[in-house]
Amino acid sequence: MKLANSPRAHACVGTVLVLGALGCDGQILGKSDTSGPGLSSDPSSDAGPGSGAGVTNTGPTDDELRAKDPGLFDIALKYFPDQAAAPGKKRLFRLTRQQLDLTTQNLLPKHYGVTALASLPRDPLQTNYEYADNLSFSAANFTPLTEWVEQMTAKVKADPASVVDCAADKNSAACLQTAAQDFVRRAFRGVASDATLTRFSDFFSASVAEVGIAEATADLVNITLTSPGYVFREEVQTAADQRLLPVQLLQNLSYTLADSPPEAVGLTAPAANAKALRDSDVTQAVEQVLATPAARAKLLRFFTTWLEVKEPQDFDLSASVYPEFTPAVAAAVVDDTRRFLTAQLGTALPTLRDVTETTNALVSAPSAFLYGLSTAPSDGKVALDPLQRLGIFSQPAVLASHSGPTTTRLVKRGVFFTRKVMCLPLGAPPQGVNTTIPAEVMGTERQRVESVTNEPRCLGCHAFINPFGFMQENFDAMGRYRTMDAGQPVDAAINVDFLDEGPLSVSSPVDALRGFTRSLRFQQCFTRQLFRFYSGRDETAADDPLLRQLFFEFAQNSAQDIIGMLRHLAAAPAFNSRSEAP
Amino acid sequence: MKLRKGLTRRDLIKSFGPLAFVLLPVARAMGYAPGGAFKGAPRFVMFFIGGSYHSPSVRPASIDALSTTPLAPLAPYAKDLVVFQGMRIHGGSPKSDGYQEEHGAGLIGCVTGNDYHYSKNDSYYAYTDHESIDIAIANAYQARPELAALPFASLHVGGGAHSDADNVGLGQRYISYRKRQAGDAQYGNAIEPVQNAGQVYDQLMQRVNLLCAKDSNQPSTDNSAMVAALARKKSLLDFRIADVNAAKTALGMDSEHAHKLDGLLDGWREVEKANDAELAAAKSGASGASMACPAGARPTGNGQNKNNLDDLSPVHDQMIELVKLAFAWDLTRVVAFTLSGASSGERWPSQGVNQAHHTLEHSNDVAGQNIMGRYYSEKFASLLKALGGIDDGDGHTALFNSSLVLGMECWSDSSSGHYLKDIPFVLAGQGAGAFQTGRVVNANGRSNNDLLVSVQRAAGIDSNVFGLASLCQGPIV
Repeated sequence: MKLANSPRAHACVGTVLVLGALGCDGQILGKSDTSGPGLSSDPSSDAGPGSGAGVTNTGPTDDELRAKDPGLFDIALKYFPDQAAAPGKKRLFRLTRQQLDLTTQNLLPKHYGVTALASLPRDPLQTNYEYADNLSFSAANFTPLTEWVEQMTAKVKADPASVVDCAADKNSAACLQTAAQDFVRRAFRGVASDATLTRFSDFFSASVAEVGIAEATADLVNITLTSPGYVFREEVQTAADQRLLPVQLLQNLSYTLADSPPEAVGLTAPAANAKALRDSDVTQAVEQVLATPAARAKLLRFFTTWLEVKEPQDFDLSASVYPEFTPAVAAAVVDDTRRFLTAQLGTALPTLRDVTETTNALVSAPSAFLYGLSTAPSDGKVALDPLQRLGIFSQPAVLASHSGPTTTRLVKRGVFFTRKVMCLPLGAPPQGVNTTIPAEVMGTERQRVESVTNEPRCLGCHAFINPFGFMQENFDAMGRYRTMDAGQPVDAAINVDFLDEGPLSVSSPVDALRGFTRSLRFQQCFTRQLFRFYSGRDETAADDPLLRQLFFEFAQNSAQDIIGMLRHLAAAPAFNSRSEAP
Repeated sequence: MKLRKGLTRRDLIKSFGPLAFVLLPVARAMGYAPGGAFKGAPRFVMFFIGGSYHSPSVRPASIDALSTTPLAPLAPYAKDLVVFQGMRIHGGSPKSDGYQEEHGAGLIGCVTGNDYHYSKNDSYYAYTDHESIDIAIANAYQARPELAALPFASLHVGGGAHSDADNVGLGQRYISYRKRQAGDAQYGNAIEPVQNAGQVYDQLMQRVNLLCAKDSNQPSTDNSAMVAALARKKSLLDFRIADVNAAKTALGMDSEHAHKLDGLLDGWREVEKANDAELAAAKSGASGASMACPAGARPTGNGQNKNNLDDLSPVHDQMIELVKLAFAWDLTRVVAFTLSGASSGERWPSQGVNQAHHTLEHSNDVAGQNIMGRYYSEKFASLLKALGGIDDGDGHTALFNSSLVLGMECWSDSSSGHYLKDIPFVLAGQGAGAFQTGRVVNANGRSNNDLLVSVQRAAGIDSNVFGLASLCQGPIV
């Protein structure tokens, strides 16, 4: 008998981190089966909820941080003041469409074809992120899921031996049972009780007798891929110290960092009798996941999601006002930015500075005109005019994603920066405030906006919004550099006094971007945004101790070490622990 | 679609005698039996257009004076309408428990008439604990024996169902809510509309194909293979439902974690319901034969993530046809149709409207608002026309036997206000005789709660309250 595994799984055998052997000699905290009963089991057999003991945040203490850099620590404390650490709440996390793709690709490489991304409707996004709370099934995505699975199982029916191959054993009952259980265990990433496995394998055996091996195997795949054990991962089973059980913890790491199942990033499930993982095991697992291409691909997705870079078909520029911004140009600018991020984030130790402060870009033939070029070099690499552009915030894909349809939408650009790039609080306009720019107000977009926002009750918000918008006025709605607007010179000068570094007074977008992206406020916002994206939720006050450490280490000595921040985040006990909501 | 009189449930029983009891699932699924005379329990549609019409432009002196307003496309249906003036949402000011703004209040007030919360002081973070009117009516119908087996308790469809800033928060996206259950996530009680017309078509046609007449002249064929396939599907469904229930049990059946699996369970139960009906029909050899099977291509429109009415228009048209299909075959009695969320980001470039509706409102672009207003009126008129084309028997059409609310949120004028007063709601259809239409009604400041009370009473829910009791005076029509 053999269970036909994916080639990828076989390829991983030599490099897997066998956690069951490495780190399972600690205190056993639950029952012997620490894989946990998961989503389909007898609740009496689980390790039960944690004892309620608080989570100790490892890493440097506040005193140690303060000793390293008192000034920076004070700022860290200003942004992240709370002291009591607590784990995130227990939750059921439906796999995102990306995760469904990578998980299925790993499980059924021969049959995976059409992507979940293309087959299932987009999930509701909050601050452009896929939050666990909002991921579930409804009439809108249930049928697309079943149809997506159906087209794969049709292929399985034509090649059942790729999933269950008991031919050598003449399809003996024992072989079929074992093969079915092996498939389900693997599909459920190790989170399946014996009772669950028996239920699936019994059904499979009965099916073979009823409809034959080909259809029975296809049905086995179908019921497995649509089971809660496959499409959800649970962060509910914890040990007494609130730490996720080993198998759930590995899933937390692999999906959080790489959108992939543990097996696909070379992690194997602990043995059935595995105990709690040691911190060193977790650290090693984090390193292993972070070293994978999948982790870098997810990092790229973080940047495009954080910066709300649109898909080519979603740009909102009016074809009549900006006829040059054709679908081909839209596709090119997005691809330029993705290739740029791939290059900048693909180094061993990428820093945020590599993304925000470089004057290099990748340009393609359709997008060259946006940079004032008649053509693009063959390798696409262009050294930009350092007086005009700086880093990703001056790239057309980012600029045009927040423009349009007929203007630069200065305020919208500013609101994006305020909320998403600098994390400044912003409410709705107060009652009775006129947010209209009268049609008779002529001049540059800046002048028009200033004409209606320069009154005291507006400046509460527009003191933040406007500078961020004004500094981008050298870029038109498509992201093309310009010096004139409505027949008058563009005035991109700004003066702000809300940075920890003191007042900033600059007159060009490059100087403004340099000032903002080097600021500690920007770096604390980056810390928050990265936490939100990777955690699938908003931060709470109980996350402050961890966020304080992340921010401090990120900002200290201007390190801006992105991988270092992910490493610290994923290995933190608080990140791998869960408690019921208070 | 050609309509013809056919089998009613009574006919079915008369024709098949004791065998009719075997066909009971089919008969029940048929409801009143398509093609037969419609009985009671009017259909309900919430047709939500996002931002309100520009209110001052929608103040006809009489129901015969719609032609000078953005409601002009509805003029041919004037006798089937009640146009409200002076109606408020939330009594004119948001009924939240903290932060207040009118877009969230407008949407949630429109569909629930009830209070709500914000998770952040931002208009895009509104949410509610309360049931929307469509769900209240659907639940009431499900509790009525003669309607319990309708294939779909409610349909939630749309195109462009999002606000101008879904990437901020989801507070202005949903128009349908069930009552909050313990442990629901913030939007765990909100219902996402299906915006893919092909998907809706498949869902409906699976049921229609059970009911429609294929070729009654053909001799009956051996369908044992089909019965076996359906029986096999049933055993798979039994396994799946048991599988989800086992997971729920493991998580604590009433825990918030278990509730997270409800969408999956509901999905399988819908499939089971359809399969059971199909199996019963296959076993009996009955083909319904009440109306001809509809012909036509599967629609391909998808309104997800779109805000351009040039793109959305065909999707809206397809969805209207699908609502007609659902009603004609009595697959459901309740539809929620989302044409936009609140703070609408929709625009209409081919008509020269390049700014989002939300921006038009706050820019006092009355002309732009009215151009778009006419669009929504045209689509509502198309829906009325579609319902008017369904013969319910007894001299009535489906339009007579329906209550349709043209819903909207707050409006704005040249000084950028956010007004929850003078909302020009429109009620269409006679609610199976409950409403006297063909008039303009001055609400004199009463809240839309009373409109919701009117439609719930027409639906047989004997209550003078819907939503906040303090906003209710009783049925307004």
